[in-house]
Amino acid sequence: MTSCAGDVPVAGLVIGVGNPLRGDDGVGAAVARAVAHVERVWALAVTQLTPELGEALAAAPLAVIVDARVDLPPGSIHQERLTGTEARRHAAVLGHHLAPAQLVDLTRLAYGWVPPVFVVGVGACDFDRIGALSGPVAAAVPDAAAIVSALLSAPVASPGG
Amino acid sequence: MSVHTFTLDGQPVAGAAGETILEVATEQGVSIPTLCHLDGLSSVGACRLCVVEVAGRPRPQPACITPVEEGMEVVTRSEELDEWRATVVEMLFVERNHICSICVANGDCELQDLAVDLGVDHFELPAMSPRLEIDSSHRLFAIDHNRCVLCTRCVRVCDEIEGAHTWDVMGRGIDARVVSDLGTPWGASPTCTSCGKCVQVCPTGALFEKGRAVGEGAKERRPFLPYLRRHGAGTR
Amino acid sequence: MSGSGQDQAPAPARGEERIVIDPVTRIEGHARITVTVDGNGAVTGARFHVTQFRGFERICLGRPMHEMPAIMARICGICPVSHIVASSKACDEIMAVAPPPAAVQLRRVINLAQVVQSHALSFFHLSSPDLLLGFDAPAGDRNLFGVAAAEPWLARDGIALRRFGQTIIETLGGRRIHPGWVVPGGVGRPLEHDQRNAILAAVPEALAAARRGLRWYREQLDRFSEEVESFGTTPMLSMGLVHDDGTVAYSDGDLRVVDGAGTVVADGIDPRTYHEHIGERARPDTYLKATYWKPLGHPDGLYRVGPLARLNVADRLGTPEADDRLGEYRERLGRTPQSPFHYHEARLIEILHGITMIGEILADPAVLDPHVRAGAAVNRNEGVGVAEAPRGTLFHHYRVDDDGLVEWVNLVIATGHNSEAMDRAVAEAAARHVRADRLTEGMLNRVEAAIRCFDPCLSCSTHALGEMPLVIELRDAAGVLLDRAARP
Ligand code: SF4
Ligand code: FES
Repeated sequence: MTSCAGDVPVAGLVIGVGNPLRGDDGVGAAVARAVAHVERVWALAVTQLTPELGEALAAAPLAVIVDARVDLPPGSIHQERLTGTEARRHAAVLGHHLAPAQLVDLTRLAYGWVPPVFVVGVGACDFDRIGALSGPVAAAVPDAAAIVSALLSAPVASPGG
Repeated sequence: MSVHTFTLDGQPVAGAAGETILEVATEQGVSIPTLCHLDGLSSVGACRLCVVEVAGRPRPQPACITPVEEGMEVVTRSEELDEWRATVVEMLFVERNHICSICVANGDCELQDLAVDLGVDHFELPAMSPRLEIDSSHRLFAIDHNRCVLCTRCVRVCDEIEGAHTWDVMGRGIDARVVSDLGTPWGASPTCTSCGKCVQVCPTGALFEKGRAVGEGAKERRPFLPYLRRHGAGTR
Repeated sequence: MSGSGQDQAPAPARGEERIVIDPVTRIEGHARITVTVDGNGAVTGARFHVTQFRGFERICLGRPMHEMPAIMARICGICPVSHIVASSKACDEIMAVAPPPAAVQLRRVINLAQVVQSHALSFFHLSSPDLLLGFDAPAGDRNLFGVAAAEPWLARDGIALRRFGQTIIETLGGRRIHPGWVVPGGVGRPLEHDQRNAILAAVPEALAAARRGLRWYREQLDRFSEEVESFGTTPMLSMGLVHDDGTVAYSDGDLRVVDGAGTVVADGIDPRTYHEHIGERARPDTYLKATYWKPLGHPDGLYRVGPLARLNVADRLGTPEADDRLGEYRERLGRTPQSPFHYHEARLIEILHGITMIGEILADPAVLDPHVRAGAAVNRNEGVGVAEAPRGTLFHHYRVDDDGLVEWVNLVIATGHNSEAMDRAVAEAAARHVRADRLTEGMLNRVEAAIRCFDPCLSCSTHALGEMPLVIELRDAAGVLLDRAARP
């Protein structure tokens, strides 16, 4: 992670979160890969959100975090615009890994601003396969990628988040 | 030379008498997973990964040793076949100790590739975790039986190409091992010419060049065996 | 925290995935601390227990020597690089080869990058919250958020310094948690021009961050005189590697030991003879082998390793700016500071030195030499490899048969060297804060902080900020449990 993909300004940062060795947990990485070729998109695949990503986030005009969700039906997709909240930073013990809202908070605190951040969650169910997604989750990857692309190309109301 | 016409996944195809299903499929651009087979060596049908369904035959047939016949109906892909192949790969993994992350062949291993291609991403069978030995007595090479899948490529290349016949398979079933000169440590082998062909053909990290670190075992799969690639000659 | 990749910096999503089947179980050690008190509630001792590591020495048996660095890298997801360097050096010994000069320099660079990265995590992410917000601030605030809210630049600098080190490790070793680039005989690939330029370009910014951090720390120090005095100030020996010219060494050099007054106790000790000088005591209730300097026996031979000890043993660091800072540090704290609290400052000075040194090494075009690896068969049956890991001196000692198969392994790790020093620190911190048969919150915080000075290499020291997953037990002389506190 150095600077944003050279001198070309990026349209957006996509962070796929999850461990591809743990089945559907790899859906974030799969979606990030699917949009990596889109022009001026800076795609990262990470196993967890770490404080270090704040640097990338602060440098991007817009960001989408893609993650697996166990509370959604397998393959279904949920998107939301994130607003970090001060309250949440106390909620969990902060280890090396952060919840998306915590990353947003940390970034705003440390870098003075955050771009609009969207979270795209994909319902996941099977975490036992190494390196493979279950059927419904694999089938959802193109849709999730399309949603991410749409988010990246749509004008966003106001910065903040 | 007589020609047999038959169907391959529903498509009419033709093959010369004596050709195997695998050979015709390859000519037709239909890929069938293989492991023990290697172009240029005789085929032995040891691994059963290349199995295909042949109408009228009760069990799937290994494509690498089954000659084509007139009117045959061959299916190379089906759910049952996928499952069969995946099970074969899984069994190879659990029978011995394949630990990719510390293996010299990591990233250049046919067993690893097969697992990826066939979606073998977890094991349901219990790992047998045998304690197997490593013979590192040879000056240049070593064999780690933990990683051997008993494909016998080494045995055949040594016998058929190099003409040294250093390697054999000894023992049966779970106790089977490839051995040099009937059990002499490799380094003391009177027949081994140190040509390295066995190392190059080994699909896993079982045979490797000493001094290579993890992931550095990339084999040179150069086509050094073309003179045997005559129709039929590769098939027993 | 081993293989799961918490430490992995983000990698672009491209390239293919591979199945990697890794049976090595995760090292998840919860630390347990036992404090014993006498009938009057006075602390009589403390013990820091860990459950980890031993399995590795057995896993390696029978394996070909060339696999050792990769196996050893999996001991720890936090400082894999130092293990790989020590392991490869042990293999160099067995092959009786000297790696080519460029490889020696590149190994230095990657080990220094590990030191910078690891120290940045220890100081900025884990310890600066205590320093900034105070030990009595609510645990929920004593974390990187609290730092980012109060001093945003401090959080940014910590992040940037970690990225600096991590980027170098990835550039050289590939984008993996366990870089396989340092190999027996040298390194796997030469350094490329562009890679070198990219690293050099990042040096000034990293130096600026290191300077800010050190300046800020020095401004805070006055507020912590009580902790400075209560974190285990018993004078002890310090051990570390130094070069012939007396400068601090990380990937080569000889052992030097100085006592609490700064007198050199031993010097120029070939690290390959460590077992003649270092005694190891297995203890029944912890997996940490405790070590001591043999000539002085136990307990007089207790010593510390790591940043504090390295600055104590070295005459100087060898880079001008860091040496100026070292001079100031010694002027203030004496030639060989003894309070583990000063590990923090030592760490910051080492960050400054490490970055400067990386810049100096890479400025020499000789590092681009494509000749980076020496090969040989087994020429000796035994080899010792040593490196300074971020947390201290690390020994890898292997015996192999004539065919290069491993027959015996002994590892001495930094946290083992420091284990009795940590016990002392805990006992002292406890003595101040234990009230008869009860554990107090103030004690918990300070015990945690005292342990953290040593930055012990345990998953628990890094998994959680603000709260260490730690169990503290208070027992009377008969071993009866009086009180117990657990931090999840
Ligand atoms: S050593 Fe390699 S080539 Fe020989 S039988 Fe085993 S897996 Fe096959
Ligand atoms: S490839 Fe046909 S049986 Fe092995």
